Amino acid sequence: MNDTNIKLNVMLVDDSILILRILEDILKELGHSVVAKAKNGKEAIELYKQHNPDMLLLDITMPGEFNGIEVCRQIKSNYPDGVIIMCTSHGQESMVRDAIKAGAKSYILKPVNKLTVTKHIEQIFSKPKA
Amino acid sequence: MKEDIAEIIQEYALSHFKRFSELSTMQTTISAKEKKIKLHDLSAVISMGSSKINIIIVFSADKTFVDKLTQLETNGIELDKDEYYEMLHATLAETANIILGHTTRDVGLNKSPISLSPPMLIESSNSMTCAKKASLKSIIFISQYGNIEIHIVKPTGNHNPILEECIS
Repeated sequence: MNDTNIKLNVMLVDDSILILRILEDILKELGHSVVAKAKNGKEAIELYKQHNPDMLLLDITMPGEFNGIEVCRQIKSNYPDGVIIMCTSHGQESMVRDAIKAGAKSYILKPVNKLTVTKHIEQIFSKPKA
Repeated sequence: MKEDIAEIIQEYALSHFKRFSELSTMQTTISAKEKKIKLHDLSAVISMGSSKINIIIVFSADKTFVDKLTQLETNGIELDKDEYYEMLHATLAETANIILGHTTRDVGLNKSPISLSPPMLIESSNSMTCAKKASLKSIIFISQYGNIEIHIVKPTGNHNPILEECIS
């Protein structure tokens, strides 16, 4: 269970089944729900409309029409309050900058682990102490 | 800072594998003697390059090693048979992506960015032979669960100041 006592509905987008499963496992262990998983940008945009999750974990490089930056841009234009965290490997720092400009809240470097995911969620969703 | 791309890859690969205590005794060596790549059970081929030069990097591993790595990465998540098969491929592809992602950062530091192609997966114990106009360096990792090798194929005769200085 997480320390923030919040239960998020999370959507995952990555073309790697490995990353999807690892993230799903970590999030469930932290007490959150994975409401949708997509393996490409087009599917991600469709599923986001259907589920309107509390948070989107989004891979930057994906095959097909839309990469992660374009998905981020489109979702933020329709859902300005949507929380998007990018997932990326080293060597894609310039793309990360574009993603932040497109509205992403932060980014997680692969390989992903429980500690990093927890830290990012806490930073974004923890209420400031009175 | 290391300048040889094989040494950079070796260092990042070793730290990637040694995240897991089961792989902490892994041994590694670099060889430049061979002209032929002997492919193991599963391989991933990635092109790394800029606008002027591309090198080919082949990750080739025993299935027993990828099995173990998948088991460690997924931390005991239950998978059905079809999903597990797909997961083996994804594990090798993601491993290659992460290690080379780190490498491109060092190679391209303060210089032009270096791009990576998506991994191409090969499932066969066969071999690849380098043409005369190519050189080959191999990094071999030996574990109790089987081996993984990373081969770096460099074309000779192309000159790109960014990559060229890292490929001795």
